[in-house]
Amino acid sequence: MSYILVIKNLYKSFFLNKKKIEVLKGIDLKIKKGDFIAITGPSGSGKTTFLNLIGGLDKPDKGEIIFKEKNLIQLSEEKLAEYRARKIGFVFQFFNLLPYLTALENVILPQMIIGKVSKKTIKKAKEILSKLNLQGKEDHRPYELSGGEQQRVAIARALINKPELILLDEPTGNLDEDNTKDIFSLLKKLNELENITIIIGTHDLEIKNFCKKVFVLKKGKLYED
Amino acid sequence: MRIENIFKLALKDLKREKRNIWLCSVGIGIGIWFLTLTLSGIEGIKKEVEREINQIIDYNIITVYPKLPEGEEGSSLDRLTGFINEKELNEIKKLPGVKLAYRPYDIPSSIIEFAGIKLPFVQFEGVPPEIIGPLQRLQIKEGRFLEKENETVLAKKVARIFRKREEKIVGKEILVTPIFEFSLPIEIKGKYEYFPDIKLPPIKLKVVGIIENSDTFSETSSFSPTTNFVHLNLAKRLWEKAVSKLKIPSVVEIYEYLKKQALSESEVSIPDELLWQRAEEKYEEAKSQLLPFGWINVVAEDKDDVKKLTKILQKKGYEVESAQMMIDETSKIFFVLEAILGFFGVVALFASIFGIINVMYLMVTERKKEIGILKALGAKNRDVYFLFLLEAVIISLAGGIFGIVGAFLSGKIASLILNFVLRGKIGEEGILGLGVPSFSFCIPLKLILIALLIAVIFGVLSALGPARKAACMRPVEVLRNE
Repeated sequence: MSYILVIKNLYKSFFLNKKKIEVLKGIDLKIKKGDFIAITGPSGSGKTTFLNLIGGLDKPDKGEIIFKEKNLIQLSEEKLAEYRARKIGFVFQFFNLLPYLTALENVILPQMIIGKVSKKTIKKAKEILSKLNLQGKEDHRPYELSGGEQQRVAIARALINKPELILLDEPTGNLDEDNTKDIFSLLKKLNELENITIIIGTHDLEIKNFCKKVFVLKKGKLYED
Repeated sequence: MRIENIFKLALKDLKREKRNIWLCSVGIGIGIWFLTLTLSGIEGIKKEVEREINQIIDYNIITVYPKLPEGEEGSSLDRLTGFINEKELNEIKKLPGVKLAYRPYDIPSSIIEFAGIKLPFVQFEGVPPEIIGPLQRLQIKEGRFLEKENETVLAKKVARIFRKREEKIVGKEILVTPIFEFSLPIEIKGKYEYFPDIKLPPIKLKVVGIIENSDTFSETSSFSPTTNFVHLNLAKRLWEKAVSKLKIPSVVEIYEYLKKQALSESEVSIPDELLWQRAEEKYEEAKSQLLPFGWINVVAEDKDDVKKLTKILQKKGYEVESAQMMIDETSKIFFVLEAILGFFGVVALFASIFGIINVMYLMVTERKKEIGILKALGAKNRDVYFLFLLEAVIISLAGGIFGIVGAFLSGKIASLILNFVLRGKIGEEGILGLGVPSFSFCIPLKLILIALLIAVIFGVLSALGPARKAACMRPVEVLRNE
C-alpha cells in the first residue's frame, strides 16, 4: 500500500536571542491513507512546528516531506498555497475563525479561496454543520458560539474542500473534558466513515482511546508509543 | 481567489472596520471636496461667461474683418489699412453655409420726434430684415420686425420715453432727423472745417414693432439696449447722401494750411518735403472717411456652419470674430485656471495620502491574524494583496462620493449666498443691463467621474505599501505570534 505522506530526516531549528534552538532533529514518518495518528508530547516539544511543516506553512532546514510523491520543499509559494487550499484541512487550538463572518460563511471560506461558491456549496456547508450538530447555528458569529461549537465550526471548515489530510493542532486545548471527548469521537467517526487521514497534535492522552497510532515527540525525535 | 469572492470578503471586513474606514474616507473626502468644489466653481463661472457671451453675441453671426496688406500690421477697424470690397463681399455670400452677408450701416446719432417729445442722440442700426431669424436674441415684444424701407423698430427703452405721453406707438409715424458724425482727420479751423456733423432733412418712419434685449452683438456694430432698427437699404442710402455732402480739401490746400500753422506755432522751420508728405497722408485719411465700414457681418445657416465658415474665412486671410471663438478663447483661460486649482486640490490630496497610509498600515497590523488564517487556508499572496487594494478602492470611492456630495451641498449654499450678495451689490438690472449674473457651482458628470477616478487612484496609491506588507506576511509567523 502506498503512503500518502512520507517524512524523511526532517530538521527544523529557530533562533531565539541569537541562540539556535533545534526543535526537530531528524524525524522520519510514513502515513497511509485513512490513518488516524496522534502526535503527543509536552508543551514546547515541537508538535505545532511539525504540523506546520506538514501543512506547508513553514519550510524545514533539512529533510523531505513527500505528499503523494510531491516534495513540499521544492514547491513554490504559489503551489504551497494551492496545496494548503486543496489537499489539507487545518484545525487550530484557538479555532481561528474570522470574527466578522457567520458560522456558515466561515465554513464556506476555503471554497471562496479556491473560487467555488455556489448554492451547492452552501447546501454542502449546511450539511457538514448539521453532521457536526450545529444545525440552527449557521448564522451565528463565532463570539455567539461556545468553545466546543467554535471548534466544530473550524472542523467543518477543514472538511469543506474534501481534503486528503486533516491536521489538528491541539484542537481540544481550549475545551473542557466533555467537549474534548465529543471532538475526539467526532474525529474518529470522520476517520472511520469517510476514510479521511488525520494527524492530531495534542498533549491530551485521552486521544489514545480514539486514534490508531500514537507517536511521542521528545527532544526533537519522534517515537511510536 | 475570484475577484467577486475578494469583493464579498472585503465588504464583510469593512463593515467592522468602521472607525478606520471613516478616518480614511474623511481624508480622501476632504481632498475630493476641495477639488470638486473649486473646479465646480470654475465650471459655474465658465457656464455663466458662456451664457453672457451668447447673450451679447449671437452664436451664428461671424464678423469678418478686412485682409491686411502683407507685412502690414494695424487695426482692422482702421479704414486706411483694410476694406472688404464689393467683389469680396459677393464671394463671401456664395460660400457654403452662408445665409446672409452684409456690410453694416448705421445712423449714429439722430433726433426723433413723437407726441411732442424730441429725443436726441438716438442710434439706428441698419439691418437686413432677414436677420430677425438668426438673431433670436432680439425679441419682438410688440408688433413685428422690419419688412419695408420706411419702417422702424424701436428699442423698448426708447419707446418707454414716448409712452409717457402717448401709449400707442406701434403703427404710428415718427419723425427722424438723421445726423452723421465724421471725425476730423486734422485740426483745421475756420474755412478748413470740412468735417462737421452732417444733418439730413427729416424723414417719416412707421413704427412697426418694439424690440427688447437688443444688446451688443459685435464689437463693431453695437446693439445696445437703446439701439433701434431701420432697413439696411435705408441706412445705406442715408449714409451715401451724407457722404455726398462732404467736401474733402485738396492736398495743396492741406499743405498750405500746414505750412501756415507751422510758421505761426514753431520757430524752427520744417522742411517743405516733410510738410508735403504730411499733407498727402492727411488727404488719404480724409478720403477714407468717404468709405463705409470696412468689415462685414456674415450670418451662418446654423451653429455648425460657424466653425466651418470661420476656418474658410481665416484661410482666405480675413480676421474673424464669433461667439464660438470667444468661448474657445475663454475656455483656454478657464482650462489654465482649472489646472492651477486642480493642482492645489491634488496637493491637498497628497497631504491626506500620508494619513491614509498610516491608517492602512494600522489596519494591516490589526488584521495580522486574519491574514494568517486566510493564508493558512490557502489564500495566495496576490489574493491578500488584492483584498487590501479592493478595500482601499471601496474606502476611497466612499470618500470620493462623500466629497462630491459635500461639494454639491456646500456649492448650493455658497451659490445662494453669492447670488444674494450680488443682487444686493449690483441690483436687479445688473452692470450692463443684462441682469444680475446668476452664479452657481456646476458639477458636470465629467467632473464627478474625474473626481472619483482621482479618489480611487489616491486610495490605491496609499494602499500599495500596506497591501504589499500584508501579502508578504508569512502565515506561520503571524499565527505563532497570536
